[in-house]
Amino acid sequence: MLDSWTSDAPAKLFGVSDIGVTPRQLKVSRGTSDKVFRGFILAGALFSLIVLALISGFLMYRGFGIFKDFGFSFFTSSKWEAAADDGSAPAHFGVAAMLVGSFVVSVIAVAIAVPFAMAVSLFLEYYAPYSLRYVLTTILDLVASIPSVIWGIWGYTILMPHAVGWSKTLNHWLGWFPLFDVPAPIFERSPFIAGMLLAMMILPIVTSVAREVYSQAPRDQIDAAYGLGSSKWGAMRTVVLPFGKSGLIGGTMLGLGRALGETVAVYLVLNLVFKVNFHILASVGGNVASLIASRFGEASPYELKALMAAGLVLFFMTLIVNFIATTIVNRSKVPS
Amino acid sequence: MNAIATEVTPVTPRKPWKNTRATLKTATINGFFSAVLATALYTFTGLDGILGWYVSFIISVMVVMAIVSKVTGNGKSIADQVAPVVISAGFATVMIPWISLIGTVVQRGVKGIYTGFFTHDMLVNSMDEPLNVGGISHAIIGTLIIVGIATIIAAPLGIIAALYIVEINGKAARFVRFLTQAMSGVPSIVAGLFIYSTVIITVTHKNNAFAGSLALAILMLPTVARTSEEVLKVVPREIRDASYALGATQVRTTLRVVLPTVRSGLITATILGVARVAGETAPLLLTSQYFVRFTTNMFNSTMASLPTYVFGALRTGTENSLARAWSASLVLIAIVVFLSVIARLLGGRSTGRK
Amino acid sequence: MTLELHGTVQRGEFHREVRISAQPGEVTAILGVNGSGKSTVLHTIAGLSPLQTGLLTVDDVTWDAPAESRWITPEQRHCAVVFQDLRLFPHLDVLRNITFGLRASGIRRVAAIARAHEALAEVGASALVNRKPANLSGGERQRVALARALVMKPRVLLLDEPFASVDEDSHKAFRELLPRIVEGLNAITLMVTHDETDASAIASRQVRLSPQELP
Repeated sequence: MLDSWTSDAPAKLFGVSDIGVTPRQLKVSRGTSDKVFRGFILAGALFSLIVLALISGFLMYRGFGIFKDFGFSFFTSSKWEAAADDGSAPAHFGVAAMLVGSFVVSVIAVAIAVPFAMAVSLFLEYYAPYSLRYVLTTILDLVASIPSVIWGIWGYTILMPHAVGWSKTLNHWLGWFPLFDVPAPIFERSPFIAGMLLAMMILPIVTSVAREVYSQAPRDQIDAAYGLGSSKWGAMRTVVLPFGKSGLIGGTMLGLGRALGETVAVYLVLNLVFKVNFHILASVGGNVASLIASRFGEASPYELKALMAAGLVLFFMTLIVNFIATTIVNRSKVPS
Repeated sequence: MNAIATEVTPVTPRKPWKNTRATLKTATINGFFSAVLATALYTFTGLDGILGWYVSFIISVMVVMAIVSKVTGNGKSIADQVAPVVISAGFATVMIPWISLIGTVVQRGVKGIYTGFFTHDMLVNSMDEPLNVGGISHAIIGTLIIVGIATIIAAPLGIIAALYIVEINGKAARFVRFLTQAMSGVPSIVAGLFIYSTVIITVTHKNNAFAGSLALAILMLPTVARTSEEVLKVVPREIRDASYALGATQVRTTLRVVLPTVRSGLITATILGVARVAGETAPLLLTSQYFVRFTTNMFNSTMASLPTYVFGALRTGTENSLARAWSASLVLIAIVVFLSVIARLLGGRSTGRK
Repeated sequence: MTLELHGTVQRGEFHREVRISAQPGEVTAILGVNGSGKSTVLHTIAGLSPLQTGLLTVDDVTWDAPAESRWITPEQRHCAVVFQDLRLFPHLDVLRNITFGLRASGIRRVAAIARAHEALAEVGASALVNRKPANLSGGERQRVALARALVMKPRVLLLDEPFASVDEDSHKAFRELLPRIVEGLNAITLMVTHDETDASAIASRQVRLSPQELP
């Protein structure tokens, strides 16, 4: 058996039209052992495809009944009620509040994390003394590996009391603006606090993407800026930031994906209420992932199906966000 | 060398980096007004504590620097003056939660740690009991088993995916890379939910540790695959060519030449994968859950693990249980950081992060 | 009031001894074959790579003194460089490229634009204002790069192979244009070139760097 592969390396390098030849088809005859080996590796590599397909397949299969029963109102309704035990009230499930809550919390996280990630990556790449850079980068990598449950316990006990104070200050000065208004003066476990905690958690991933693109900014362009009497900031603003713009957007999307899927930390610092809420300082919020974690324990089989459906929604949401993110990041990388 | 040069003029050159009266004056003015403004901000805006001082001082420095540079007009734009301060302050600010988190975990965690903490389990003790009884031995062993089995499943698959992308580089290489990237975005709770809906509902009918391992394996695979890919890419082409030139097949080249040269890199990749999942809580809540003592029954019983122990202790919500949560967090963070450091030492530069 | 450079310049692995002095109002040509370190000298003066040993002073101000482990940053030097590969900023149009240095040194937008138009007129490139570098010919880019440096009215003007990317006709035009411009500027001008004819046509002094002998 022959398998064919195209010898198009020069074509890839120079572009086919430039050298005016179509890539030559090479017929490679491989030994049996190689064929088996390649087949085996390909099979193993496609394992991720199987897993992704199974995830969507199974969650769809389990959640199908829910989509059938509630239709589009699963997305537009905020009511999440299991059937009453005596059968007096039917179950009703809708994830609107949780979907909105996921986005509110994640957008807050991204809005806080991205400026800091820019500062951190510029600092690490261009401002920090050389001797410190390796140490600081290592610390950043270690921070990236702090488990989310520990962020959660820290966020609950340490961050929350501080953040309540900041929330009050914000509310005091900016309360006239609906975003910072609260219906009742309770500031604990708000989307603002959850978003702040998530910002700290996604900072390492956004920073590492930003740092990578910033480090690839063309060195001679930076020199050119210096050569015309520009300060460091001038060079950053003219060369590095524009160069890294799309990479930063990709990193931001990646962080958004992480924030959307975060469970335990959000569960611990956010008050889960089934109500669409845009008052970010109020103690009312939601997140699809923590909905699953919190209801899972005592869910009836029917509610479990609803949770599977919610899981499917979350899965596709993060998949789409991540797809956009990786596409942007890959495109912004200098081809090596 | 054949340079046409005049004599160096005997004038002693001025040294622009020497502090002149003017620079000293500017620094003093900056410092003074920053302090005044910071105090004012602190007093009148309701900022409090050390953090309040920190925030008001940074704001003040930036404002005063901007004003002074505008007034003295030393030729540079305000942005040039303020930008380095903003960037450094941004970094410093980001470090505050890190320091706070590590500091709190260590400070509160050591209180509950005694030798028995590592040798006892929670069979006869409840979370709420005083800190000198009960321990987390079952959770530590549980984490080792669950993560260990996840590693046995995910590491080979991750390395195989990387081998396909780099060594075979077939038609589907980009597709496979895309898949692993997509897989790395799967939220951990979804991985747990998936294993619950497949393995537990259809096969085992009860929560068990093996299901936990499977869920963690899903999360681990992309990390291993991506790091291994980076590692394999570094293998010089010449080494492969040398092997092919001596008549070796691709199998032989891969198994005998390529893999051995990057062994430590692949170990690094695996360790990073382990560190990635060792602290995962959400998928375990849905699968292996928690059990008060150690068990070897992988398929029929729930099993404790450090993250679910922390979570459980936290939910109990009493003073003692909270202290236990901190202590177990300390152990967990020590394990994760230890693994990450080992991975970095083995792998040299941080190859793991993209 | 001169530029004095003596000591060891370095860039990466490369390093060599040099001794150069230059006067304002005239062009000093630095001649030498490829690899003799001509560009490194310019980079050292511009502050893009530090001296290893020796001293660099301009107008009796020390710019680089490794003995005291000090050097002043490029932005404090009032230099302007025309790079061999030009290095126009690809995402900025011609006007913004030219005002870049002025804006960086704190000059207001309106004033900077006015000066940019003057500089463009001086090099005969007024028509190019709103074009992007990618749409310019080699000679046009060269003019823009020159204008970008001239507009700074720098104390030290550094030209690295200024005729590297122009055709024969523009080359001749430049050879006449450059001395005129430099004269008006009264700057210390150093021009790196490998072309003897250019050197003798434009420069009033010449420094010849020998090929680097291998250790």
